Amino acid sequence: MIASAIKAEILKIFTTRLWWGLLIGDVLIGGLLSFAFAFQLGQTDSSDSPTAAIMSHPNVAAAQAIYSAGFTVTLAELFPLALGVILITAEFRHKTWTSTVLSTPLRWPISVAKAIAICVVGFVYAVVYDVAAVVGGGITMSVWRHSGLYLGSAEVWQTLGLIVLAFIIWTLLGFGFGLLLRNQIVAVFVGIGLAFIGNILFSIIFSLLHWDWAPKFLPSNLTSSMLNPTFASDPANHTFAWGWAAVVLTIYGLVLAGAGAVLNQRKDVL
Amino acid sequence: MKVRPDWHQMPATDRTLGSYPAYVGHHAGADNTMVKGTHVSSPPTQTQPSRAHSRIEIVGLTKSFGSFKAVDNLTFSVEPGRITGFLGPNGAGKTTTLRMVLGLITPTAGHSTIGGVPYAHLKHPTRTVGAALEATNFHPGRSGRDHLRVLAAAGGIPESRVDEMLELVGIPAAAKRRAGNYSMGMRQRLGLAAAMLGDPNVLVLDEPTNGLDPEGIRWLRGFLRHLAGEKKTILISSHLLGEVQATVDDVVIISNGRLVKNGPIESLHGQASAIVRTTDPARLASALHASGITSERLEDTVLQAYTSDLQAIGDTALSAGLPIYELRAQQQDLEALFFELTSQPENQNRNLAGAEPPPPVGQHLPPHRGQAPQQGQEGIS
Repeated sequence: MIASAIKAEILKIFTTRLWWGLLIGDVLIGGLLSFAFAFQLGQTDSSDSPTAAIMSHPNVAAAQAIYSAGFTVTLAELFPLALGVILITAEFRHKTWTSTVLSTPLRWPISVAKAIAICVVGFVYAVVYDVAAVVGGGITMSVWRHSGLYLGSAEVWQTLGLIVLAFIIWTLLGFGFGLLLRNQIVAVFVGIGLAFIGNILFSIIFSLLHWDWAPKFLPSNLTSSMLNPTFASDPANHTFAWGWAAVVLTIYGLVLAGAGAVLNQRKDVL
Repeated sequence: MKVRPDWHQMPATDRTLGSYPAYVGHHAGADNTMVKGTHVSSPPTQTQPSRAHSRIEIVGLTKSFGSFKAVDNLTFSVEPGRITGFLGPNGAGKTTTLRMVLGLITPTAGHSTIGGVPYAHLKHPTRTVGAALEATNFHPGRSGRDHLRVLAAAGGIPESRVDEMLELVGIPAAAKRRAGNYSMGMRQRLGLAAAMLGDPNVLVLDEPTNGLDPEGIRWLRGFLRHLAGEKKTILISSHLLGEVQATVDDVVIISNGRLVKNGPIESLHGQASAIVRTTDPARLASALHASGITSERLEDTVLQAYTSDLQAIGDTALSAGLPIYELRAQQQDLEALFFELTSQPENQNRNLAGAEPPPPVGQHLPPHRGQAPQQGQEGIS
């Protein structure tokens, strides 16, 4: 039953225009941001800030920062977030939830199947995104900054690989969010609002309160910490080491998706 | 009460008429001219032998939403090989009941089983029970064919069934278009294809005639007849008895969540009668009485004779030397009966509390038809 449910959930994702529509947007933004971000390479003074130090000359950490630029500015993750929200809330909005439950009357296999389908689409997103970011950033790096692409570096591949995790977790966050709010329009606005504007807002509030320990818990900061290990390893930046950032972010995704699934477990399908 | 004109035009005998050519032969005396010109799809290519024990049983089913009792201690069963109409006015609790049977809504009390097993515990739910609950349960951006592919995958049903079902319901050409562009009739057909996908032995259809054109309704009727012939258990809900009276074998009528009537549809019809118009109804009445037919005078020149044998009335009138100006079988006004059953004070629609009381039954009938028959009052269960 669970295998059938997984197959159905994957088919569901790839039989509407949503997945490629959002993917095109994400890839364009990601590619352009990496392309633009790479122009900073060698233009910064290493004594200005930790970020400036990383970008002061071509090196592995700079390549990691360039390829994950879309996440550093909290834009790339909004697309998988919206994907997760829309995928689940579409079931309520268009009442396909009824046939989903009719096919799989026990609810937990539905949640598991949806989570696995999200891993599949998250992987597809990440692969296309990686290609776009490397191409976008790489053009600037090689044409205008005479830098290598550092594609032989295991650390760069670690970042490109963790982008897969980032996509999966942000889609899961959207999925959990959508399950909790159910209303598509509300969930999209609140979800995007919290992730983007909320991230800025909380950063300001935390800095006013001098809560240096707090910003590192924000999901967007966890994502950039995970993708930029050199930056994250500097204690002055008050961030989690990349591994812990990955763990905490994964916990967020699982907790939110799990909470949504549990609350939906016995809810009547009207 | 609004009844679709196309239904009025359908003779009651049409219920024996399968639109399926292969099944027309089963109904002796079926009017074959009705079949011509009807769009006919091929019957399902794989029909499994009937699996026994596909009875739907509903025992003491109750659902409260807060203080509102949507369904109140409902008990009835739906038999295999018969088409059961599940009837009641809007808001009577039909959809809530069906959704409880299908495990979508958890009952407050009571339970229901399909072949002795609650829906949620069926091993292969969509291969056992096919359900079409609403004609709008599609993602508008997904094609009809992909919609069925998703359901086939979820139910572990071979994908070859998808095209077979699209063929069967007559929308193979539209299947590649996005479902959001479908007409109501096409949505109903797609919903039916979805329900049939797993070749289930039990079919639960909520208001399947909504939005169907006359041809579609006739097609549906023949289709359901064909399925009942395969010993499938079929439960269809409707808020219009007239819509299904030509289709169903049994009726379950509910009002305000409670059972009002339950039994074969024939038991609703009551005694057969005929309307006869002549010059001297009193003499005709006594002549009829002599040949064992009771009658009742309705108007100056109109008699209601309690028989279905029109020829006997004509012969009697001829031997009595009376002219006949009109002679016809009395139409059973089931719609009026249904209305009456569901508007008795204790069954009055709770959703219309405070509204104008409905007009008395029979007042809307043409004057020469006389009173609406009062049959069906003697318990039919």
